[in-house]
Amino acid sequence: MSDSLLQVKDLSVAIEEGQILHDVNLTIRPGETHVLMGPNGAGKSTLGNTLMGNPVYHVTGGQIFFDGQDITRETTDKRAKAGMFMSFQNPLEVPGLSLESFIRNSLRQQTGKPVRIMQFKKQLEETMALLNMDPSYADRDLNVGFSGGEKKKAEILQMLMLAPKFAILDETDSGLDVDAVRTVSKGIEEYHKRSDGALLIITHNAKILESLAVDYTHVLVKGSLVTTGGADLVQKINEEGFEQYIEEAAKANE
Amino acid sequence: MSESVANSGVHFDPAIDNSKDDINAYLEGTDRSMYDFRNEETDFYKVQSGLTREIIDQISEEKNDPEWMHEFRLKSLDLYNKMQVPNWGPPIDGLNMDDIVTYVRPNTKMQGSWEEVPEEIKSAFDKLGIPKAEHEFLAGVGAQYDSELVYHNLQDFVGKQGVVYSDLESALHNEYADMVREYFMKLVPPTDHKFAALHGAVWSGGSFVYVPKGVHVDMPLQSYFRLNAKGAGQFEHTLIIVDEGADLHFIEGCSAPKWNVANLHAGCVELFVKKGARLRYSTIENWSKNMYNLNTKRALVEEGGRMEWVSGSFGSHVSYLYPTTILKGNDSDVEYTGITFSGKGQNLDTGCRMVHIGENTSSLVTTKSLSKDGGIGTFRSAIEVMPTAKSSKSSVDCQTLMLDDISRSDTVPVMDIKTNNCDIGHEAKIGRISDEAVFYLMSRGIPENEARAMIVSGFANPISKELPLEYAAEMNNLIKLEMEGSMS
Amino acid sequence: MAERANGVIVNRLPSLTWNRLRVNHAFVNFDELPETNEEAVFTGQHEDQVKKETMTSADAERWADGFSRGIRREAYIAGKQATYQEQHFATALGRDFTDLIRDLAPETAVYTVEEGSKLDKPVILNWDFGKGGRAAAQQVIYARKGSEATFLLNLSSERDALGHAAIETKVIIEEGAALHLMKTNLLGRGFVLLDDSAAVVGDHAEFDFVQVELGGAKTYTGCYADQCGDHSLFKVQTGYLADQDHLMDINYVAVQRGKKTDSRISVKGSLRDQATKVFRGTIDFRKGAKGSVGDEQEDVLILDPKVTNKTVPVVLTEEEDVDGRHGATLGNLSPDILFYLGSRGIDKDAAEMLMTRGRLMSVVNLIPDEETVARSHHFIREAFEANE
Repeated sequence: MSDSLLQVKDLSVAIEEGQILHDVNLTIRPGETHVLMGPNGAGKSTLGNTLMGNPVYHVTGGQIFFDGQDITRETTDKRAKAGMFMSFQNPLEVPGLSLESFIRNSLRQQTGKPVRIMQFKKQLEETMALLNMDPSYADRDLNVGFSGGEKKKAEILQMLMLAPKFAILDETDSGLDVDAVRTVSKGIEEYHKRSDGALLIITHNAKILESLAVDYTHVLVKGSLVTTGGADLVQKINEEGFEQYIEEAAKANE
Repeated sequence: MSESVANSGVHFDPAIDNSKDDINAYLEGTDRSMYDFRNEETDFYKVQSGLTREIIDQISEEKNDPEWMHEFRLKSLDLYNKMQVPNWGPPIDGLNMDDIVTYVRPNTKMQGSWEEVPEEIKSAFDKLGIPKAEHEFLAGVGAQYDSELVYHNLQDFVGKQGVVYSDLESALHNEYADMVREYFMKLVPPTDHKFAALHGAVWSGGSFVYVPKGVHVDMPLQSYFRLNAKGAGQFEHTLIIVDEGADLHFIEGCSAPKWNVANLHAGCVELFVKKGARLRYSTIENWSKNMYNLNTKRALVEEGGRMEWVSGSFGSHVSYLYPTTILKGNDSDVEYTGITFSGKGQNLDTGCRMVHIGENTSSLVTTKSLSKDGGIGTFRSAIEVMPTAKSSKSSVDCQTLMLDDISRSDTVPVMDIKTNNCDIGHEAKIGRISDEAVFYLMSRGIPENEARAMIVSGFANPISKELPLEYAAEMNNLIKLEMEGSMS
Repeated sequence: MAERANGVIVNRLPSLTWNRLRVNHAFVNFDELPETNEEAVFTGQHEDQVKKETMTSADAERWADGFSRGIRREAYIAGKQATYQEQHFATALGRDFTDLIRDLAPETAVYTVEEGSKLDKPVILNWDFGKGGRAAAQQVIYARKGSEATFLLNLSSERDALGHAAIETKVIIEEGAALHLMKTNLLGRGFVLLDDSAAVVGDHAEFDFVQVELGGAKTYTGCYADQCGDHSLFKVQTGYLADQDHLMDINYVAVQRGKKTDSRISVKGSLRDQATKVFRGTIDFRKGAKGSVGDEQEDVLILDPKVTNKTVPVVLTEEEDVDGRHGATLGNLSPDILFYLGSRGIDKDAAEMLMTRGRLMSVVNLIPDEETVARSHHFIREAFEANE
């Protein structure tokens, strides 16, 4: 436990309409890459959002430890300051707030120091180039009028700029074309290289994982983690689907 | 009676030439006979005036008015005494209408020094980081304050181009006297409404600007309301004439709230934009929170001219503020950009009115409103397209952000279209700060209150970017202050 | 000061604005009503599906008031119409009209749709004015829990007939019930119509209001929905055509009090010749209406240069957690569309007819009665032919 970065203990989560996650346990150590798979509606995004502290989701049992601290009741901004990040499945549009100023403000909040403008601008430009993003996006209103691909790239851009210890990628690859998926994986690789950050990748798609060394794969079915394996499990699920796990889960409930 | 005070049936004396191109025929309605019977019914404000001819005579004498102005004041007084307060806007029963004289002749001993300025305004200035020079300037109100000097400096600055910028009283007596007489209260006649009549009777102070043909004034002209003992500024009159092909940006003194004991402001702004000219008129109003701001602003735009309004309303207790633009000339256009932030104890009724008369005219309205801490905000507008305004366009976009559930926000727009050859669009949205957007910002490490303030600033951004930098900064600071107030 | 004229004030705008614009209310002058002594012929179809009773109008009013649970006599707000001080069961045309119709129609028909019943066919109430005439009628429709019914009110006469009609329909929709109230106005060119509707909409209840306004010289109409129920829905779909020197004066009000209520007001129309139209649409979010949404849209084709169009889309908000929208598109057919249609051989007149019919028929086609649809269709075609 002492070497774990994130530890989820018996986590149960509900929303207004009902219980979603049941007794989830998960440990992620620094630098590890975990993949979370599961059929639609299994609760994958719920887990990501709960780790990040979205107030829509209520923890009804269990605890979340990050860097040795119990953050179960911590506000979202404190979690971010502690080094947690989430790439949103549907990044929000905020009119009047530019992408650049958003990242700068976030950095200032997280470091508690003023951002050195020239250095920041240079780094932003380089990172945008790495992600094949047009530099004009820096001045545009956050996510407003961005295409699906541009929004996801903007998320990865934020991850690279903020360099968190741990990043949750919530279906970052969904709805992207092949080129965009390639660009996004390049960004993730870069994140790994630069900051040896840990990852929890929520995905349906093996494409994004091709160039990544996956350490663990978890399968979530109906709110419970039903199995955990290595990188090969991704391949297996892609070939066989989730049926086997769904059946097992059904049996276990009988 | 309470049907439109503009159509009060009181006819202004024809001796005062009020027929300038019959603009007012457009502004006022004609056939209203079938509505008249309602007058008695909704007469819920009883108004008695303590304002007498003797008081007007005295004002005229002190100001050394030309005879026509003296007459004008007296006729306005008659109108004022006959007219009713509006029945449609925020309540103004807090105004002591029975003793209007208190507002007209304020206590001559008031607001002599910075020390007498209420604490909340002083600290607002400090927090705002108003430029030190201006701070000192305001701090020095009273003995050290000399409005003539301010104007004089500006006159030197632009005088080489032939631009005239002086106080209105002086202009009544110098070589521009005829020009003032030609334009004064022709666009906002005293018949327009009760407070226009009051203004006509007791106006005092204000600015006269004339930009000659073809002259482009590169730097904005700014006016500071004078806070001298005679109460000028309370009823100040701004008259600006931008002649053919000329260009001007005028900034109405905005960081100068008034802390007068008499809390009525019934100013009047008349703007004449001649053929091919452009005028940009920017204001951030931040009156102290006991002010009844019943200000009338109107622009008349000739062929190919362009009027731009940028308006921020933050202060006052009650506001009635609807800058009106009359697009008289063909191919003239107007853009109105406004924001209103209604906080605790405030009832701010703001918006605009666009009257399309010329062909191929265009109006573009973008407004934002915010209400919080029990504040009431109303966006009120009228887009009027006359039969002559062929090929005209108008687009209105108003957005409202509700910041809590004890405040109120209304939008009451009217589109009155009398031609088929036009393209009129209107869109409005009312909503709250989305929880998801707050969560998104917080997930990057931004605390909740800052996340909210950032979203609000973003909401206001299309307005603040229209302002000169220092004013934009001031506006953002005002928003921050307001937001901090609501957080703590 | 003028004496009070002989008439009534109707269609008050819930929030006042500049009097000069003359949209704060409309005035119906009785001296201008066409003279007629004929009574319209009333026929009901499929009435046997529901219980029909007759009460005195005063009794019916008291009885209906009892359902208006959400309405208190609310405090007067300066600049707002004091609707609630004047009426317990608020209606769109307002107090004066309610007083008037109580006198004109001493009896009220009360239709009750029994709990849980779902009617197969629309209940159709026809007023046929033939060569001309008058009518005054008041009805209450009471849709009990979980029921669903369609009521269709048709007003018609010969094309050149004249006359006047005053109709008031109050609707009480209980929990989980759905009521579709549909109206067609195919009256002649000399008719003055005052047609008021009002509803109290309960929890999870739906009030679906469809209005097709094609005929008449002067029409004052409106619909007021008090959405006191949580999750209640008020949906308005209106199509109108006004031509010659006709007047169309409309007032729709959605008062959203319940949680997660939904109002959708959609009005489409065409104006020709010297017609005048005033549309007031108000969405009024009351405190406590958390999670409510409201949307109103008006789309007007202004086809001739002497038309007057007034549009007043009001949104009043005293609750933070709401999402309100309004929009209006006013103008002629764009040159792009005319060019496009022209390139297919359709001239301007034909294009106007086509676009108008498209707008109107999208509303007409909502009516589940073939005969009414066919008659409306015919009416629209005639209106354009007569104009040529």
